[in-house]
Amino acid sequence: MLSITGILLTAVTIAMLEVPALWKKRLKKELVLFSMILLLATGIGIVQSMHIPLPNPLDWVSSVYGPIGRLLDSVLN
Amino acid sequence: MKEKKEKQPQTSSQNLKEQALKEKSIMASLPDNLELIRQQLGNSSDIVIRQVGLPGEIAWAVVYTDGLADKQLVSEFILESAMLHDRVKEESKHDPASISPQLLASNVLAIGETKEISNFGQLFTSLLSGESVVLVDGHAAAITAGTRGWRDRGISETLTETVVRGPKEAFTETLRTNTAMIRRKIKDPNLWLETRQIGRVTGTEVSVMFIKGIAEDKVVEEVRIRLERIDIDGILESGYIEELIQDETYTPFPTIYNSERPDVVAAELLEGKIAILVDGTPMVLIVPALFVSFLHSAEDYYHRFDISTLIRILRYIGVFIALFGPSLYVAITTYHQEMIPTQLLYSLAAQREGIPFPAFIEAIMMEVAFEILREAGLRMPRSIGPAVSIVGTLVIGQAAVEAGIISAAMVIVVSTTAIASFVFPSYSLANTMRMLRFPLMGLAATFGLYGIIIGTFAIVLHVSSLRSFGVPYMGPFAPLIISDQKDAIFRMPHWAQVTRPKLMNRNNKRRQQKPASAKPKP
Amino acid sequence: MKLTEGLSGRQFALLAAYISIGDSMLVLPSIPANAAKQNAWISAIIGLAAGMIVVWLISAAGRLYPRMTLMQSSERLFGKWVGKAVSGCFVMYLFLSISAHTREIGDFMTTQMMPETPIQAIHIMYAGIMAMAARLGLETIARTGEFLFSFFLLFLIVFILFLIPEIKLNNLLPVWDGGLKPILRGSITMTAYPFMELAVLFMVIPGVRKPEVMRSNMVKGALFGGIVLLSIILLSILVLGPDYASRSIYPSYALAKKISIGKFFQRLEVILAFMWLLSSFIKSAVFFKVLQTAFAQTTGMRTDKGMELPFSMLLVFFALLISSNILDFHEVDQYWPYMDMTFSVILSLALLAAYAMRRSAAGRREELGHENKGKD
Repeated sequence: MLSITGILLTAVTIAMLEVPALWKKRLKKELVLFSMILLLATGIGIVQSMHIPLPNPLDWVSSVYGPIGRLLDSVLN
Repeated sequence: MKEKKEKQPQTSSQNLKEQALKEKSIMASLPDNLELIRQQLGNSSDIVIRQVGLPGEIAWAVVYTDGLADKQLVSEFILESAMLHDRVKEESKHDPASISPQLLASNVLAIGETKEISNFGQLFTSLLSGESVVLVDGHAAAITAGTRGWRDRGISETLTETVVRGPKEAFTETLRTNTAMIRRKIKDPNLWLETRQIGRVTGTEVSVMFIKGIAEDKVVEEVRIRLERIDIDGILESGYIEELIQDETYTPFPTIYNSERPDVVAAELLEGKIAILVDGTPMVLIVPALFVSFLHSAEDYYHRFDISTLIRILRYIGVFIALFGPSLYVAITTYHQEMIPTQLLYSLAAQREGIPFPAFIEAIMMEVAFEILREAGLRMPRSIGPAVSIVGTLVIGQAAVEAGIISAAMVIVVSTTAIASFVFPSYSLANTMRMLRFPLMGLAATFGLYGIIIGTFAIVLHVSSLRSFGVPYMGPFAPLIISDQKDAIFRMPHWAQVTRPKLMNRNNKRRQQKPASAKPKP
Repeated sequence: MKLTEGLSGRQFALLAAYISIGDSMLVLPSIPANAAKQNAWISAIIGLAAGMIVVWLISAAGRLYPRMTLMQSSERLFGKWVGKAVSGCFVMYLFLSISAHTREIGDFMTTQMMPETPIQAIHIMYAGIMAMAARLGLETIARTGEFLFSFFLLFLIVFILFLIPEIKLNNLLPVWDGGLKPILRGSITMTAYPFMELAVLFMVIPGVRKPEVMRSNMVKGALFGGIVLLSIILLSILVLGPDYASRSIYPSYALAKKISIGKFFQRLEVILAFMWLLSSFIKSAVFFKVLQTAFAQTTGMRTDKGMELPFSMLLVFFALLISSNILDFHEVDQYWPYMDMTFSVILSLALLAAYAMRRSAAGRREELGHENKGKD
């Protein structure tokens, strides 16, 4: 519970620091992207702190490159 | 005549009136002029209006400020030369209208400096700077005569930047004396001086001095622009100007150097820097300023190069201790005890046995206590100052250790740090280190050495991003300029200082020709 | 959207050196040591040689459009959509790399130096300083590296000098006993981690003041980094012995612990920690700043400032996400080099090939044009 509040607080602080400048300069697209990444980070953080397992992106990488690695390994053995 | 919209509304009408007054021309009628002067100054008792002329003769008057104008000059060279002048006496009987202020200035007044003025703004500025104003009835113009002469502290020894070898003169609070002291060091016609008045209420005179041809024109122009931009009620000290023109406000590091020694200022001018002198304070600003300038002392150049280099290295070690001393102690004793050699570990552990506070709290308490003592020491009257500091440090510190509140090692660490911080020749940088020490201690207490290292990275990042009037702050270290290393940490002999610092000037690089060996041939 | 005002050649070389030493200084030596045992130093030499070829390749591709970032040049050479896809993949590659760096620092700290500290705290501090560095710009990062380089060099020399008394040349024997294959296995990571990851410099090249010195400086820096790594691997075997070196996760740290001169004992690990944190920090800072610009250009943002904080927050959690524990994380060494290879070797070749095709197409068009003109 404490960590979730911490994460939310951090997200809100970050938003407070950056959003006014972006709003003033009317950078809509940048604001959208900013919020997207911030939400993504907050989401992942909250899920992690609740100890719910999340898919690991490196698993996807290893499924792409793993076979090559194993192939080369067997060649060099 | 129009005022800018950003001014506060309640003073805008005042500003309009002030502006109107400034531009009002001097009137032809002498009594009107004098009446306006009296009114505007509220009949201040130190404004002297000396009217001359018998009825039937031309009437004229001298106005000056008692205390600011040299009364001897006024009576001898203005009043005496005009009143006893034959032609004036003649003309005033026959053709009074021909006695004009301009005539007085050109033929009659034997004073050294005169200037013609036409409006009240100039009149008041000159009057209140100590000059005398000569008004003649029937003429809508006036003459100012240079009669400045007030009492000031006089050229005395510098208290804050003492040296063992070298000149001991320091600047005074009078602008003209200071510019003269600099001129005495540099007798080159290319040493130029520009003066302006800054401060709507104080009207402080601020001068910019530089050596044309050595200083970069772009930087000089930038200085001019920034000074013009200042719009403030009063400038009382160069520190005001410093804060108003510096590159960045949110940094603990000073980006403008200051000194009260003419030899230091002259040396900086020779390197292509620009001096800003402010009337009323002996502290002269020097711009642009690099980090290394704050660790250089004038004495480095007067002693031999070997001892100077060693002392400079000592200063850098002092920087390290002053900045990292307490943090390293806190980090090592809290997180990384395995780094301490075993014997030392035993004694430290024994010392910390009875101490109720964790190392971090101990350190903070001691540091704060020390800062309080230091500030108090500055304000104490001379007679009890030393006694109280001895009491404070020795007795209280000793008592605290014996009472078991603080460990002796901490006292040692904090005092060493404090003394190391006095190694800085420049007070501004010492303040920076004082401030930075505390966040580092905080980082050390929470994250140990990792925290200190990350904190160091943050500091170096910050400092590497600073610029002083366009010049990168970390000077010859980053970007690395090898040819300037001869005067950064090391101080190579004078005959090896062939070029000026590269960052200060692109043209005029060579300082001197390589001299032939001075040894006499056997 | 300029990256910087202008890096000098020397600053560029230093960045290349820092990036090649980077995190490899700590995590690399155990891999060749594991694969080739006492012949790991031969792996290192082979890796260094191969790495130099990679550097040459990268700089050749970088030279094509020295004033354009990778995003711009890939759009130009591959067309808008393929170019954007390439850029997008590059962005993800960068982000995963930084996550990996951060995780490595966290793992090291929590296992070796500060076991009681929660790993998130380490990540937060690291991500925080990344954000600060990126906000201040590439030139500031370069200057920071320049300033701290003398300390790095000093510590490195001290480190090496004080290890020399501990060298046992016997540890190199028997030389070449397993055959070429284990040696080659060890050299893969040696080529990938220090040198292929220099691909990030694609985005730094536009910031160099004089593009003609880019190649020589990249080579100089990479060579320096490679030699440093080679020395560390060599020393690991000479001092620790092939057994210990292959079993330890952080051989360079174990090396530092071995240094003992008289009373000065255990102090010197800090020196290693500082060196490694510095090289890793500069590498990650460059990656992070480049990530900002790459992301901004790929998505068509008008400024590359402002996204640092969300990304660093994402970084903290990603660093936790990518692996459940330290052993698991080292599985990565099986396939990460090939990802590196994609973005360095394959990308460079693709860029060069596309450029060559464009040139010949343009050449043919010119010929036809000339022919037509001749007929007048």
